[in-house]
Amino acid sequence: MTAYQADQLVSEYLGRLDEQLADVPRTRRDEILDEISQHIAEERGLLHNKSEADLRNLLDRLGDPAELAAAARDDGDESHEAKESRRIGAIEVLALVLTPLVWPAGVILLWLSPAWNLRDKLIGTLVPPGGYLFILFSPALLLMGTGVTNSCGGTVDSGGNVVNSCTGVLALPVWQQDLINVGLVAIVVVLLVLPVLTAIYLARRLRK
Amino acid sequence: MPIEGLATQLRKGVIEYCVLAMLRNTPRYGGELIQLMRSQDGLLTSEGTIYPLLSRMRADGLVDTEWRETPRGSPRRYYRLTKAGQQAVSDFQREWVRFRATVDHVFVHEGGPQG
Repeated sequence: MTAYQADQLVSEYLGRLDEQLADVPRTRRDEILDEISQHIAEERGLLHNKSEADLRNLLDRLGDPAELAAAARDDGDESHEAKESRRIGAIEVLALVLTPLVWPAGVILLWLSPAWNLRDKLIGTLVPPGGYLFILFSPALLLMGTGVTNSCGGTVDSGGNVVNSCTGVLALPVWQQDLINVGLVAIVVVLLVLPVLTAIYLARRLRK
Repeated sequence: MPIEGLATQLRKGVIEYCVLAMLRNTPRYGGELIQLMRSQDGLLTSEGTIYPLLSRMRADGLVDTEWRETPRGSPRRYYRLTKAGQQAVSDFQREWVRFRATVDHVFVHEGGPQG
């Protein structure tokens, strides 16, 4: 056998191995191919008579490329497999970012991801009611409400006194107006904080 | 289960820990591990599987690697145990000793005269 034929035999073996390793991550595949080809090179150097039979025996001892690829994939450890399936991917990161910001998109991703269980998904969907999208609408709703119902006007009664009268919220005593304002601020703060808390909760569930 | 399938299953369960045990005292390169395995009957049927195994254990953080120069030829990748690898080997050894004792006990004392 010429050196050229021997090289052919080896590169054919490595080619088959590369094919079989197709679904193994690139860096690991390169590492395995690199190590195997170095091993073959070293063992070939040790062969006494460089016959085709010796080289074929060498490759046979290494094993069938399909068997080697199976060893690269096989985890043999279920807990590790479970960890892998809950690995944090692009969907999970996007879901975390979008759930508070662009609520419908975030929630769709949340439900698509296998990383959360049903309870987490329900919390992510329901706790920030509509995420920040809701908050964008809520001041508008409030303004509309006050705009329609609140008005003050002064009129002059028969005795020549100016009488101020108000309707809506502004008709209430000042302490009650303050109470309502404090309540509104509290609601806005809660609505701002809740989506963030939900995102933090979901992120923590992801790590488990 | 046919006896050949049984041997494969048993091998699969322990081979990783045998490799870790061989790295316990000193870093070794793949070819060196294969040579050690050759003297252990039935432990490694396809020698090449040691490399995917090592690569998997590295991805799992049980071993790490360093390149070392060789007297002649190109540098070799040496594998050594990480802290997690040390831990895995100790855990396995404790578990294995207990397990082996249990199986031996069943075969010797509970298995009747054939045992």
